[in-house]
Amino acid sequence: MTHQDFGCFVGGWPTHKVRHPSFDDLRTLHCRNNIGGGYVSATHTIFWNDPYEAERDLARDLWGQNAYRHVMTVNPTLPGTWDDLRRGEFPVAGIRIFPCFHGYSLTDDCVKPLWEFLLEKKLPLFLTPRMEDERTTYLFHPRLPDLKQADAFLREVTGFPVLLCNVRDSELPLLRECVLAREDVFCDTAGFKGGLFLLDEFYAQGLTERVVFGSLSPVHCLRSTLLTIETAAIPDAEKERILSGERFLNVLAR
Amino acid sequence: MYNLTVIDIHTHLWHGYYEQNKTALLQAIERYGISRIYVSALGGYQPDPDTVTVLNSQVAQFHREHPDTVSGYVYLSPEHPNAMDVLRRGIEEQGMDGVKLWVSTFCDDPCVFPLVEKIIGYGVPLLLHSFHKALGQIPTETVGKNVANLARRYPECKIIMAHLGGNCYNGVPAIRDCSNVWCDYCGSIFRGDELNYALEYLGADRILYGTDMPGSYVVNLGQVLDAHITADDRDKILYQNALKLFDRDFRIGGDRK
Repeated sequence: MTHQDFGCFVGGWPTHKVRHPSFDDLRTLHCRNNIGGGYVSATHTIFWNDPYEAERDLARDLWGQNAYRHVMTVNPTLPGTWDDLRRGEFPVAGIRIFPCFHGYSLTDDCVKPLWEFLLEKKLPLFLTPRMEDERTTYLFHPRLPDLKQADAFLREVTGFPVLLCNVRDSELPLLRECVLAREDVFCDTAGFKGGLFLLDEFYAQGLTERVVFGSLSPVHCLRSTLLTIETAAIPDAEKERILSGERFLNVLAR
Repeated sequence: MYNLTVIDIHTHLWHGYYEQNKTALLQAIERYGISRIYVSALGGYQPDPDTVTVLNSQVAQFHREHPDTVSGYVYLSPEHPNAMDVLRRGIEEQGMDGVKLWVSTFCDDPCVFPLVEKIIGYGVPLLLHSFHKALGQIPTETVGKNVANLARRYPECKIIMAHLGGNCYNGVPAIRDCSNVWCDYCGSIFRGDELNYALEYLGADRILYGTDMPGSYVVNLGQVLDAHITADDRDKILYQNALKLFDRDFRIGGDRK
């Protein structure tokens, strides 16, 4: 199966230069690393007052690109959100949220319509608690992720697949029980950077069954995350399942 | 892996985890084909003198057991009255090849100065933890401007600023004009652009490969493999700059400011 990047972005970053921000840059990078496609969001959707402007730009980039799927960002605290979601101007393969950037919690009333929408449309949620390392933020400091809240959310709100994006390797084991209790919760590899041989340990704990490749490129270095998989002492077939996202795609196809 | 020669100039043994860390480091040397690692032992932000003795003994032991692949830094808490003795013993008796300061004092605190003068005499590099943080800054944690202060006071000292100063956009501008400061980009920050940014300001001659193992190894390898550089510059970063810097006959000069 083709290798997929389940956590990639186009666009710049407001506090430093991004040298390769465009969709063409992303495609070139993927090509160089034998990645055939991906689930793409736009970084500008985090910061722009009307994120839909960035969604339209991304949709134009992805038009006719069959290997790439659009993951739309939703900020449920904004007034146009539900109207944007229902417009159907372009195909959407998932919804990404940034609660720590946008200042709400997963239990707030403002997000409940989103859960209903995901259920109705059978779309996955790309839950993204952070982007850059919290120690290196500048000017804008997002809230810290709340793992207890994420745990409660995964236990209580069900009915649509969830991909945890850029969760740290030290955080995933804390969520292990609630992740494995459901068949449709996965985690991408973007935050696995804290130690040696991480995937070896996750494999031993049965957690790689719920891991897919996500790079957070261009904010993070794609090759670093890819090497985490390639150099792991786990069966090659398991590496392939992570890189292709086979298990996650099977859940999405249901 | 990738048939590369690699010298990792920034790895650790953590107090209380000697056997566990040693095993992991040796396993990494084997799995990743690392030619040599430079190790310092750390334990607590303000370790007492007895703990410092234990830490340095463990590094010396690790070096003795694996002299072909493991070299050591002597760790100093410069505020300790016996810091000069610890330095002398580390370099002259325990076979250490460099000196490491962490967070017990700022690196430009006056208590560091006599140690630096001795370090210059030994011709070994001084590895400085340096980390500017938006969150959780330790009260005496060195950042780029502290490194620059020390580098300007002692232009003969071969200084390595670790982690690109944590937030590279804070650390690198502070030291870019200090030609006696090299940088490693080790640690768990792996923004897609930080190595390219450092290369633009410092050039490949002033960047060293380090990882912070037993933190991740491949994170930093991925960054250099993805960087837009020539094979020659990649090799400078991966091992050639380290060979030069740790050569005690390689001395640098300059006017003190």
